[in-house]
Amino acid sequence: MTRLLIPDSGPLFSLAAGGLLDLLLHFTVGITDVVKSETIDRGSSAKASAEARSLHAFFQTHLSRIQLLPTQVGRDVQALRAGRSNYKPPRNLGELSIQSLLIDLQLRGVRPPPVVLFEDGWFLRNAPSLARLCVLLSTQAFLVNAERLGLIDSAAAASEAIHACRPGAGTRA
Amino acid sequence: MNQRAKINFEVDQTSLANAKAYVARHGGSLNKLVSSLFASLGQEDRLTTAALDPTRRVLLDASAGKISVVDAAERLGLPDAGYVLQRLADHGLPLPRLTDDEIGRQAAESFDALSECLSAPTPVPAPRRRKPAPASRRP
Repeated sequence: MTRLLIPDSGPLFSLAAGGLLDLLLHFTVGITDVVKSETIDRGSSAKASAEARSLHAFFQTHLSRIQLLPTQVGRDVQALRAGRSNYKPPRNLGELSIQSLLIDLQLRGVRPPPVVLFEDGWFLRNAPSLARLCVLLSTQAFLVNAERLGLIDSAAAASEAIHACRPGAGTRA
Repeated sequence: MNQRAKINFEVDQTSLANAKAYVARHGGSLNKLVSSLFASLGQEDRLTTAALDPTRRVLLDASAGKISVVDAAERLGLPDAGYVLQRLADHGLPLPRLTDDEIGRQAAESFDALSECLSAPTPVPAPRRRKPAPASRRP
């Protein structure tokens, strides 16, 4: 069975900023319901950033190649939103949805465990405390491995493109 | 006047490149940058409470990896995290970055697992053939 690559919201925005979303097409990618709402769904708004629009367009184009993964967290938040118009969801909801999914996959005995892509800052905050239900990977390490796999010419150039973050220079909130 | 002292220390190349780029954007020198960093040590509380506006404080927290870009977007009232990346770039603030050693370790440990995520075998580029010149152009 092919192993699943599950990106959090941060890496998706980073890859969009660097014009690197096509890199995901090489992998079997799954996105949780909450991460989708934080990234792809935002791109349909008139005030969306260029990065969110890129994500939305990318998803529309490659709908059949990206798995949507419902989570308990996503279902609960949706129910709370439906019940209360002023409901304010907790912070780090995308990350919580991924953890919810990982627990669910483990309980169902799904093997092999997925690779989860988090933004580099996440590792600075959380890596020591997360149970190893998956293989953790930062955006930078992902780019290094993408170069080793021959999917991109240079991880350094890809990283520079992300940090330059200029595809959306013309768009402002 | 304070006496000056010289010190040597090691820094990874990426961090050095980042510092040089920062100096190029904002002026000054690496020497002044490091000196001001040393001088500011222990004064973070005063700086963050008195000198920083709320927007910059959120961006600094995002740049330092204390909060996610999605969280930063919510705190700043922005439509999505793409704007946070743009604001960080506008303010000359780098994205959070792990050390080269940590990135290398992660990449090595996850390479096999990531390879198993490939949806199709990676195509090997075929060697390019030289196209023969059209016969009609030959003398």
